[in-house]
Amino acid sequence: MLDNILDIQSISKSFGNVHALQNVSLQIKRGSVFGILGPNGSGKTTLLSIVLGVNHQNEGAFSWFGGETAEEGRKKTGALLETPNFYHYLSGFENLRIAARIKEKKNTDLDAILNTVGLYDRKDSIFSGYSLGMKQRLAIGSALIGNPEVLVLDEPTNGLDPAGIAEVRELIMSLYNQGKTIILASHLLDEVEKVCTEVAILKNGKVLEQGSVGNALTTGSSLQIAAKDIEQLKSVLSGYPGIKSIQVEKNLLNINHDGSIKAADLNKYLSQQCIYLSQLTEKKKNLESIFIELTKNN
Amino acid sequence: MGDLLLIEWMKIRKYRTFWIISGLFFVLMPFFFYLFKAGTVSVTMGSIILNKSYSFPGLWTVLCYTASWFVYLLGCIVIILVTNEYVFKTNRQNVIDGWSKLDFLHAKILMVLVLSLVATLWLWLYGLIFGSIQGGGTSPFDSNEKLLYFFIYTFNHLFLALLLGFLLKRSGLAIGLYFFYITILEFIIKSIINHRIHEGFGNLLPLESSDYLIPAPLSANFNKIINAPENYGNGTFVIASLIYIVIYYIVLRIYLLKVDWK
Repeated sequence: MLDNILDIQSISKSFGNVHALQNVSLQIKRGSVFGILGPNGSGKTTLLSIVLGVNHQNEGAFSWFGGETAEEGRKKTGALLETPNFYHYLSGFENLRIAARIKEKKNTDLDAILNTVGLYDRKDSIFSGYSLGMKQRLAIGSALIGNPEVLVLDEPTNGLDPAGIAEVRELIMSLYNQGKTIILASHLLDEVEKVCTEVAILKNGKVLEQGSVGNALTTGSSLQIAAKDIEQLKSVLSGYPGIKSIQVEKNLLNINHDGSIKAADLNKYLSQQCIYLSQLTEKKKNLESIFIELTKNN
Repeated sequence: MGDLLLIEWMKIRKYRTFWIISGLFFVLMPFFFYLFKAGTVSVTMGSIILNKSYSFPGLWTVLCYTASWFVYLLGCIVIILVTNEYVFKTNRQNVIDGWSKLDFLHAKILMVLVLSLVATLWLWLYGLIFGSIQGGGTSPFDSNEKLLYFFIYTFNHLFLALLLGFLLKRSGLAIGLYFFYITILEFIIKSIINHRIHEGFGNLLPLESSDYLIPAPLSANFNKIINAPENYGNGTFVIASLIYIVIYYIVLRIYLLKVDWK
């Protein structure tokens, strides 16, 4: 079951002089929760607009479900793009009815969906009277119509309070457990790290890194060490294998390494050099530090 | 196709602005027609002729001409319905939900078609009732081709409004340009073409061509008096109007397939 749900090949898109996407290629596997992480303006929504058929790419191609067009793909996809877009003078229920008709799923149990997203009690209220969080919930509800195989969620927790964010997270996890593929665009690292199985980091329209959240992106680690003479410590470590960079921070050293250095081995080596550490802390890199490192360097 | 229309209906059936503006057409038009009639009765000279025009078949000419002024209201509502979709980004949502951009366009065209048909039907019913009460004249089914001309006129108008709505995306701008075109711009272009290029060609402009299908009552007599140049026949104007409708469609189709919906 590891075939690709969505295959994006070298997509580029410009708006005038702005290169919104540059040569973006991504493969999204069936059954994964794929996070597209990037700061505001990095091209996440543009990329999703293209694969959903709203915008056109200048170069490159994409295919859904191993060879289907955007139009065919959309019918098996539930999507929330950027902001909740509904008819402001209609109720939540009436808006979902329109969406269900367009999706050719007119027999969908809309009450059940409204219950899932916690809007059943307000289903007959006019959309324009909804709070931002309620609008967002309705948009998620709309994406769930027809029980689609794939959900594309662009910033789904926008405007939600902490309880709402936790609920959306639970909803995503339960959909994932049902075997659905979820494509989640977000600028919230925490959100991506908690729910995604794979992630691509996007900045200025380029993919900086992509891989599994559990492995590829969390290899590389760091150590924090301190000794009496920081300068001597730094010079002794300069030739040590596996070190990528050393930063002096107040009276300790931050060592970034490729993951091969073990704290005990390093301690042993330093004591052989007659340096005795006053502090040795091993730090596993999280997505946040990788993200900041990548976006800073690029 | 039925589904496209049904979805359009679901969108507008609870939209108050739609009911208010189209209500103005369906209610004000007959009301003004009645006032128009009451007012002209007192006009000397023409009163005899105009009185006759309120019986069949002359009634259809006067009624279609009066109603043609109210079609602008329907043009406004069409512009609002299209630009609303852009403002609230529901056009994008419709596509994300599974429509193609052409489905979106076709749904709007069907809505315009039905609106034109309903307006024509309303005019026909109103004319039948009014003419029967008025009495005199010939059969109510004489000169019913005027209603076909009114339908073409309305469809042409509303399709142009649709085009402006799609291209300009903002209701204020589109409605402003729509009125500027119908009140001033087309008249200026028509005069330039007729005087500088070729007499009569200017009468074939987009809305002019269908305006001539429902001329003002007595305009034929008036033209004779002032010795106006020969004009094209109704057949030419029908064909010209239909050609414009096809052009609007092709322009919209090409535009929508090319443009991004940001």
